[in-house]
Amino acid sequence: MSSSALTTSTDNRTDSGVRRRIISTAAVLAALVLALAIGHDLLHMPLQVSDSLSLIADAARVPTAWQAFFSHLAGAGYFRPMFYAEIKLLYDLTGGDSLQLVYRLFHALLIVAYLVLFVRALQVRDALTLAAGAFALTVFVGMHTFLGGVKEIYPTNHFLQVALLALLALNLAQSRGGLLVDLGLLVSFTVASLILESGLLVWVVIAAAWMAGMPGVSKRAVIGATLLLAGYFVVRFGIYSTGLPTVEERSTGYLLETLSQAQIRERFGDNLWPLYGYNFLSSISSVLFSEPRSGVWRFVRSIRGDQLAPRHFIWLGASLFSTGLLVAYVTSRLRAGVRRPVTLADRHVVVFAAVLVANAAMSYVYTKDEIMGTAGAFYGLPVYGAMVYFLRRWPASPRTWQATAFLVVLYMAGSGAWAVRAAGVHHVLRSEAFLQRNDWTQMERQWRENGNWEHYADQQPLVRRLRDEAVATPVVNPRFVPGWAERVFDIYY
Amino acid sequence: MAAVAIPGAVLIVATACLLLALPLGIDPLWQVEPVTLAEAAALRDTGEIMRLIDRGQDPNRAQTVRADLLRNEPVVITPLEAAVAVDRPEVLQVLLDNGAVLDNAIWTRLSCFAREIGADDARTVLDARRPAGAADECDHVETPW
Repeated sequence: MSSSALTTSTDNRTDSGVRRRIISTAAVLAALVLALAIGHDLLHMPLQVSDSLSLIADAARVPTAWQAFFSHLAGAGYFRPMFYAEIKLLYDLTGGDSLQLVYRLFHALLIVAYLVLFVRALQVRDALTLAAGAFALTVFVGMHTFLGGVKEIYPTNHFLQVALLALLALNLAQSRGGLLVDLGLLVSFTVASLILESGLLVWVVIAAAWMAGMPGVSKRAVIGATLLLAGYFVVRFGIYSTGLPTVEERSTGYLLETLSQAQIRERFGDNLWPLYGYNFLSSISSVLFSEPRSGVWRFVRSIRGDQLAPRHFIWLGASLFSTGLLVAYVTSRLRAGVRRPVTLADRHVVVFAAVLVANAAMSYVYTKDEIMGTAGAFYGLPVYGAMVYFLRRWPASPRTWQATAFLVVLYMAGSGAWAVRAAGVHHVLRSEAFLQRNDWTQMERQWRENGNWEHYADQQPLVRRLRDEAVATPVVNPRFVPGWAERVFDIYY
Repeated sequence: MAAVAIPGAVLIVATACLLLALPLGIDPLWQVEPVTLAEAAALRDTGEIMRLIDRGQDPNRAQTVRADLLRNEPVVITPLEAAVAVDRPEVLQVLLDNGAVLDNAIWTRLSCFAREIGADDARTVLDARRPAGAADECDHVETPW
């Protein structure tokens, strides 16, 4: 071979390497743009008073994060010591000043990391995957489960953190592996499992990624994570006997209504298995079809109440498109004789399926969009893979011009619906900010009525300071938002 | 490929433009419309009520509520009257908890107004906070409308 041919070959490899890096950087930049805009919204949002105020007041009282951690090892039904330690750590950063800003900033930084980790997991490498990546980002941001992780700051969002750690584990699983990666996987699992019970999903990601043949997960990491999982059960149920949450704790959606705790017992008595089964299946359906929402079939309810709006069709249509794409992909692969995961898209299907089933199983007591946040985050991955698969086959597939036109319109409508859903996040956050700020004005009255005002007498200056910070936050009154926004964007919040 | 990428790309570019406009003071998504205290009450915006009072606005002063917020034409009313007009007990309570005065004359006027327009929830709050000696007669009481 001549030296000029060798040089050309090397130059080509360098050029394509540079081009790949530029394209993957462009994908990360796109994620950053969307994340920063959401972060900007979050800086306008007061903390959610109902769930966060007592937690912050408790954090002010406890001397150290370690004590916050240890004192929450034995909670009834729940096991979230790291969640409380984290609230205390953030509290200590400011010494009690500008707390609204600190918690919001932390939340905004998590959102940035969340979107960047998602787009990295896509492994965007060329123009086609970049195009599909733009679509995938709208799916990721447009999921109602994403909204659940974003709109509530109480004062840190543990559902969001678990989903982020699960995506981190996936990124590690897709790497070249090694001892540091193994340690990263084990740390991700440990932290996630101590923040929230659904942190166990990180083990599911590790195990499923290993079974799917992802290069970054070694047998050593799987064994290590499994031992940690076993240790979790021993500590939680053996040593601290936290038990599990019961139906008496929360209301839950069922068919067309929300059942209170009393109504649950009235309807199901002691045989709660039908409810558990419904919660499991409706959680899966919620991720795949955006219905039901927290267990309630809102689309059907809207039809019955004559309240259908364009947003119902946008939401359902977008999900039917992307889930249809996913089903078509799996069917195509099975027809081609693929019986074990070969490509990244195959592996994403396996991991997503495992996470979806496990996440839904954890949602058996009550359903809530946020609980399915991790499954929702992983949904965009195989959908992206399916899109790339069909786009690559597009030139070679024989079609009539009518079929081509139909498919172009279908793709445009489906990806357009997802873009509308993603854009609607800002509308929801803006509306939520208005509600949260108003809630702060009722806080003192409610706390006096429920006894919290006396219980936290030593923290009254802190509580008033938090209220003043919340009230001082300028928010948009919904009256001045264009009317079409309510008809187009999700208003279930 | 374009059919798939265009909607997402448009969203990303539009979002980037919004971010670039922020240092110039342009923030279309968070454009806060200035309102008077009476308007805040009419809009059920208890957060804005408290914010304006914290900034020194008088919760007892009558102010203009622009057209189409309460009535087709602008009206000049107090924040308490606006709260009764929209029949929101929580708005009434926030005003009363933050310096709005409820003497005998004001109570009677508000109570008659609530009765006139069927603001039953507001009447419940007013009845609970009735000053001693406040009259219940509405014959010669002038209400906002």
